[in-house]
Amino acid sequence: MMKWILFLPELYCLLMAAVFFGLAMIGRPNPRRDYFAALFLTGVSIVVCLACVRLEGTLFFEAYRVDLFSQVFKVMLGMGLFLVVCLCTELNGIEERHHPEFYLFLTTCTLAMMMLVSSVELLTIYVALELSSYSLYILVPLRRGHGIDVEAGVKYLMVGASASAVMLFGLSYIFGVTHTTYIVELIRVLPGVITTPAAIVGLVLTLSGFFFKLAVFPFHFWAPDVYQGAANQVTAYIATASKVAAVAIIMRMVALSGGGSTYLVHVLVTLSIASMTLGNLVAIVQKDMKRLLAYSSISHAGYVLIGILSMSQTGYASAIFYALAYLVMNLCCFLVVVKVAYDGSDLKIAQLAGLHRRSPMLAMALMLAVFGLAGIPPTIGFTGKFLVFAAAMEKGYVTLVIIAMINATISLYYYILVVKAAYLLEPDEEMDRLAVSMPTKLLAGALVTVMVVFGIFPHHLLEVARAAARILM
Amino acid sequence: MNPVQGFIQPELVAQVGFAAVVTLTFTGALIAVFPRNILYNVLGLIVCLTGVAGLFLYLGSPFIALMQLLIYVGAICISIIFAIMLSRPLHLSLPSRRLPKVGLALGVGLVVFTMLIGIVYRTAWQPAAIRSSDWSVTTLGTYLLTRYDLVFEAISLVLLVAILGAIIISGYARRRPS
Repeated sequence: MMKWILFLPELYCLLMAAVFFGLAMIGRPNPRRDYFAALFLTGVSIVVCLACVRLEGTLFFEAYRVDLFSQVFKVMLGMGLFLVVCLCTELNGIEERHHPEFYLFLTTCTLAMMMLVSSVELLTIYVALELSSYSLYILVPLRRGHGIDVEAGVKYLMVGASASAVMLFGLSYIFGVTHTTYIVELIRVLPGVITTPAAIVGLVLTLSGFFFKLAVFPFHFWAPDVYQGAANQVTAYIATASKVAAVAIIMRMVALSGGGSTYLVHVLVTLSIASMTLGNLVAIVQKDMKRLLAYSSISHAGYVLIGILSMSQTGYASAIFYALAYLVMNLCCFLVVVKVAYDGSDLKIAQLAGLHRRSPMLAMALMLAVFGLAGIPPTIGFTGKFLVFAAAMEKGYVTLVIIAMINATISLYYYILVVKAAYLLEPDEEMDRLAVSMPTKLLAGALVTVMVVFGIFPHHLLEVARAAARILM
Repeated sequence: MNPVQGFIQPELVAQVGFAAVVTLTFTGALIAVFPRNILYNVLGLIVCLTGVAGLFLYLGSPFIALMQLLIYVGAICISIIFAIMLSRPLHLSLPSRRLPKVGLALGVGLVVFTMLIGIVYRTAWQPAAIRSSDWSVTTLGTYLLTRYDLVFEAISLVLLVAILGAIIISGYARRRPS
């Protein structure tokens, strides 16, 4: 058997990065060329990921495992990258001569996340995480602007570096207790010593590094500023693909505990409740669309944690499903943000006024995406929340589910405000119709179809999620 | 014995080499101390430490010489230069520290520190089994290119991204009209 085939999605990403590197060295900027090259290459990357989805095996002296779990997430990451590139038709937020670099860092970040979901050795996980973080640290201040982007970039770097330090410290405790960095051995050893303080604190500190990526309370400080400060397309990427990878790796780490620690469950429950409540309450007062989506992402991190902390196959499967649902819904939201703020500026919620006349298609896409985020049937968001809550109920976490439901109701308020702005508010001055191109309409239509169809018929996706989750058990 | 060896004495070569290395070291040390421009001082330090690496080479330990170059010249001097680049000019006034903030930071740090120490004390640490006693350069190299191959390669990718990013961001900031 040819082993390098297992590494094909990552190798393809490296190839993409090399192409963008080459484009970056050509003197004259040519955004159309860069865009179409990126569109084509990332489109093929989905095909590559899909072709590799059934592969299984280990590489690099057992440090790297290719299985259904990792491959499903790689498909999601490939999809996320492609869809974000689809949003780059008018990449006005970034200077033209930096477009190849923009695609280059998106690609290296995706590559790092693909490595992250496949790594089964702690050092490899750490380096892959750093690679993805570094790429994002650079993407955030790339925005053409006047200072706020630099502030956001510095904030992101500072919080990220602290999270890395905390995580490394946690890893040292885990290694001290178990004498290994290989997850295969950790699964065997760690549940036996999980009651010792060093093991449990080590695991929680390690998780902190990933909580930073997912913007779970108390590692959420960067989210609103970075969402607002980064270019719209970069924010779209941070809000979708990077969250998916974080969910994957948190699941792998939590599964290490073997479910034998009530302390870990308590920590996760506390963080989940704090994230949901804080995200939802602060989101209510936001005026900027991207800041609103940032706080909504903090609350959604809380919902995903509910699925993960159930520590059952149903729980993990529901979290995988939720991650996919969140990817689609959020991308749909950002599609509207990018198209309405086509000059690359920040989008105020008030600027959505009259959207239903300026572009009925975008208004409908926004409404369905926002309903999905709020968890209103028949969208995929409702199904995702339902599955997550059901998994928690199975384990008897009734109070947690009730708190989550109260939170979902609170969130309804600010999501409805967005829909109200798009459908009922009239703009102060008459605005022109938005010129929405055919591909954009098709993309919006496809995302809406996915949200509704898989919302009503989730079985096929859920089967895949279950099969992937089985590997963690 | 070939004619060249007969003509140039090996001891003479060694002594000339030694003198060259020592001169390099001392010149570097002088440059590191006397010029008023701090950047020249760092460059002097680089010359001086390269000379020290030469001394190690002269004493017959090429590995330590290479490490000296790699760590002191490659890493430490470069980080000094970065520190100079990133620190604010001395003639600007510093923002004053707020006492409550400092107190709070100290307090939180102290609590975390005690907690971590407590954990270390309350855990029954088991010594790990000794896996190998051979930690020669060859073994380390073999490990880097087998067991830790992926990490090794990934780190080079991280460095590449970091360097590219530094170039883009610093170039960007410089050309931006302000």
